[in-house]
Amino acid sequence: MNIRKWLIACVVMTAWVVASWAQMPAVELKDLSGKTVHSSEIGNDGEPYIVTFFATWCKPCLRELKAIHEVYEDWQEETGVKLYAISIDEAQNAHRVKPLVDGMGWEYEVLLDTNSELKRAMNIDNPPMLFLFDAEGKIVYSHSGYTQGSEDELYKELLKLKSAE
Amino acid sequence: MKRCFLIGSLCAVLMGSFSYLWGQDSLSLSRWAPEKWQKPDFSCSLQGDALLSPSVSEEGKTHLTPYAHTYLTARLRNNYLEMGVRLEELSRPLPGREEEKGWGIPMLYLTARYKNLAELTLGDFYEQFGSGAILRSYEDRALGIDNSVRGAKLVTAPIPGLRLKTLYGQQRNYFDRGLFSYHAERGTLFGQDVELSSDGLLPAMESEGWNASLGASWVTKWEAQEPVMLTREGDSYQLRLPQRVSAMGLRSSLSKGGFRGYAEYVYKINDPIFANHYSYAPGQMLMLSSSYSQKGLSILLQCKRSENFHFLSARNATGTQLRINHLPPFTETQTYALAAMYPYATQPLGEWAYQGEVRYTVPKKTWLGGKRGMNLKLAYSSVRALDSQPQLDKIVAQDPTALYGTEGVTSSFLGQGDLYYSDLHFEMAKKISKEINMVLSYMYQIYNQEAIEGHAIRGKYVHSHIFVADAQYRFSSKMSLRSECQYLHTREAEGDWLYAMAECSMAPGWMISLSDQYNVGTTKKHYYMFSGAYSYEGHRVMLGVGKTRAGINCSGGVCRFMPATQGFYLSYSLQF
Repeated sequence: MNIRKWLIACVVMTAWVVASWAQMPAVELKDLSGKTVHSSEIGNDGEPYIVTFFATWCKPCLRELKAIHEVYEDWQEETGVKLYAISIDEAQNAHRVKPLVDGMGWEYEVLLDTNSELKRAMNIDNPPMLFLFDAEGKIVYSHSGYTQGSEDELYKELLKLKSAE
Repeated sequence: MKRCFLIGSLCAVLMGSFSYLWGQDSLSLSRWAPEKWQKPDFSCSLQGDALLSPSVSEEGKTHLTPYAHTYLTARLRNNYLEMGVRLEELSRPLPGREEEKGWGIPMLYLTARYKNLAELTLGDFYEQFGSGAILRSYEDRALGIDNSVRGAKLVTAPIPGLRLKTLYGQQRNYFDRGLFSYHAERGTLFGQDVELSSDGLLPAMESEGWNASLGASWVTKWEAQEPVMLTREGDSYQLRLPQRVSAMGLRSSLSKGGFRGYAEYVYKINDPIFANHYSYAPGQMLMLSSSYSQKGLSILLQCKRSENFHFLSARNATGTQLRINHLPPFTETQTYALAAMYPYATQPLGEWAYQGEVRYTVPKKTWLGGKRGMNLKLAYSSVRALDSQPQLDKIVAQDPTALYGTEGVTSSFLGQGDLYYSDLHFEMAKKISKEINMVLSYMYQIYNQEAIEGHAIRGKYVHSHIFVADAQYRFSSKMSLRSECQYLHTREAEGDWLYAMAECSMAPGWMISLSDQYNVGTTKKHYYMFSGAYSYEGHRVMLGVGKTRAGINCSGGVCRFMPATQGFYLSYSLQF
């Protein structure tokens, strides 16, 4: 009986508000030098940006970041996009992230979500999970998992976004 | 007395912050200026795993038994308020996860926040102090871990560079309590954390490229007395168990340019629990981490010593439940199936662990790097018991209650005992052409099966040589094929294993994969899996048929923990 009440409440809430969640939740993260970065600071000054979740042990995540790394410079030149890579590595593994990112030569903005707070707040089940935000900070595209060629689809969405501006 | 001191110091800090703020000019006071109320967003997520497992009844008829885990999470949030609820349905949990049985609403919370300056949460919440060595409340659905705290939490950042966290409540233990209640027989805990960081407090340091932080934590657990009896020289005694156990921690980090250093020390006063044979020895953990990295090269060195640092909400809790702190294995997380076959698990009574990693990217257009460069990695980890472990094992083997009420067995700080786990891992990744990507990996692993699993099949140590080849071929812009071939060679345990996998992906969202893990050595068993997955926007569905051994499986584009099972699998994650 109680459960049914809650489920009904859920449905009512859905009916009452906009049924698509679009914004970044409020969570404190850290950057690779140890500085605190609030999730509200994630943005790109009026340009679109990408947020993707990864872990040092997640092979598909590393494949995705490697694949985007190869075309990142071109993407930045053409669209001004910025990529935020958020690591969910825990405890001592969080210290593996900077050596990994630098060792691979990646130029992304890397943030640490060591207690998976942002991952939980965005209802993410497993990495990799990628979101494309428009200039206003609303999610316009998301993709779960990585398969070779996913970055091409992401690029198409990015171009669509730029042409719509 | 101690509580008064704590509350007093907290008040002093807040008053000090207030006075500091009072002296600030209007420019910095703008961080306190209120924001406009935004329209709330609603989000909902439905996630689950299901298994249809065939079983044969006595009459010889085959029927399919369904098992399922279902999680429905809903959140309503804006910049000031947030409300969340999660409904879980695990009436028939997956095989191996029977302790999670039940259904209900284990998570319900209301959070009020004021910009990023203050946040108050009532209900069920998660939190971590430092690296989690003293307190970590989190959720790992795939492993069945959810030690959320039900109570209240306050996080404030009164001045830039200062962060205070205070929490009080009781941890979750599956479905053993109702929606708005506490469980009378379990402990409650209180935690306080203070963190100072140079990026707010010492801007001059920041401009020189330095970043430093200092943190201190305090966690106390209250738990009622319980009868624990022991016999000494024919007489029966009951242990006088401490009803309040405290732990404190200090941590600091320093970084400049490519250098990064981190140190953490945590200490716990006497905490007799079932896992440490009710001994009254204190517990401690020290962790040091240092790294140097620049573009294309990085070096990481870490070490950790832990002793009697199993901090639980209930003295006789076993398994993964009711843990206040979290000490993950101090080894590299492996995801290739055979490399992850003998994973290390942190030993609760103590260990000395070291690990290091070197990464190097061979530049493009060099002899070794070729046209596109090459990534190299060399990693090493080693975990050993403390030097008191053999003595401890001997005493407990003779009489399990011998250590009850004693100071336990002392170990020297630097002394080390038996090897628990060690691995040396070399990996090479190269893009051979526009169509072909290749990863080659070799690992030599020593695994103390007797100490970690409690039994050994053929020899205490399992020495394995593990070879992995992972190649990806891109047929067209829409289609690619990835295949893995792995071989594990060992003379112990179940002998050699062979693993092969082929995964075909068709953009934008389709993936089909077929894999087989075959025990060449002894059982000659095949663990095969055929699956198809489709992902569209944030949604994902996977359907599979096969047989699996327990472990982490990274295929289908996603990393998942799979328990040992057989039958038809369904796995879905939908976001609204």
